[in-house]
Amino acid sequence: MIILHALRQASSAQRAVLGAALGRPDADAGTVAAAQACLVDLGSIAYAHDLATGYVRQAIGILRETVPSGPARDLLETWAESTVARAT
Amino acid sequence: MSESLRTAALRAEIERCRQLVDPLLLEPSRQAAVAPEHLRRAVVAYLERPAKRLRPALLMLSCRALGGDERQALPAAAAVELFHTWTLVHDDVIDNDAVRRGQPTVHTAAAAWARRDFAAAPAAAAAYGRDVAILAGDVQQAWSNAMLLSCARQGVPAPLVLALCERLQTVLNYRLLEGEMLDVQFSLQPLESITEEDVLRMLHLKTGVLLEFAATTGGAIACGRLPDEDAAVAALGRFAGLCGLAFQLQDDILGIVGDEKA
Repeated sequence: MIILHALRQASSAQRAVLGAALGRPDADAGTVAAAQACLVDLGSIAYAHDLATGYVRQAIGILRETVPSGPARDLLETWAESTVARAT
Repeated sequence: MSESLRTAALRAEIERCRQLVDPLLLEPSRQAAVAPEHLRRAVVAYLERPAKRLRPALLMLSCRALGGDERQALPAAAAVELFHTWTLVHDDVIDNDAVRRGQPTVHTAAAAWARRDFAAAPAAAAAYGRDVAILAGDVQQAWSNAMLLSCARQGVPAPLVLALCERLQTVLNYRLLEGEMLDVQFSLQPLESITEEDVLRMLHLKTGVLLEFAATTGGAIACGRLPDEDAAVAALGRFAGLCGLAFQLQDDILGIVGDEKA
């Protein structure tokens, strides 16, 4: 998803940077770092994050509409939020 | 309640569920039924490694959210973890991954056993490793079915248990394997030919449908009705499916900018 978004926005120079790292396990650290920076600059990471956050909001809305309030529902809501808040 | 307190409460709940489910997953009598030794070790390899058991926790919380008795749902919680495990074992073969949860993947470990115990040459050992992993996944899928069926011994009505087993073997299995197949096909297609909708559908099938199954199974055990018979059970499924998409997108983000994948 992130790569698709990036390729849609990228200039030819940025495409070259991404192409040097994509699907190349032997790419060196500098090449990978440049591609990572490119994905951030193109807004592709933020795009995926916004998409994920939107899904979580939608999920919680569905839960609140249909499932009775209580400790288990609260934990399910926290679980939903944790899917996008986690760092590992 | 503050965010940190809510997060701590969730962690404690997931850990509590793990402690309830793990004894079922690692039951010695089930392990003893699997032979020969290489196959038995392959079957339990991932189950013995530290893991959060998110899917069992989701199932048990969904059961409680609709007023159910989580003890009745415990075998189903173990069943979804076993189902998840066989998909990991086979996925690792397909992707030819060497490491899972910080240790060798099943096919990598079994290749090492072939070299050590049979003095197999590298190519033969690699083939043996793949064979063992495929068979181990097959055993785990059978365990998953047997575990779900055993809900009937916990007081879950037998017709509901059968209906849940049917959903596992048809809806869940077909859709999850469709997702895996799409992933395999995408790897052969030019990126320009793949749309965002294609990727989201694949992610949902590979990750979301098992979470959907976990949540709806917990809800169904609580209220005795399937998702197409009860709006709240169906809602739990939609909730979990959306969270699955969010989870997978976050995984992709962490794969690029994070320290390590979960």
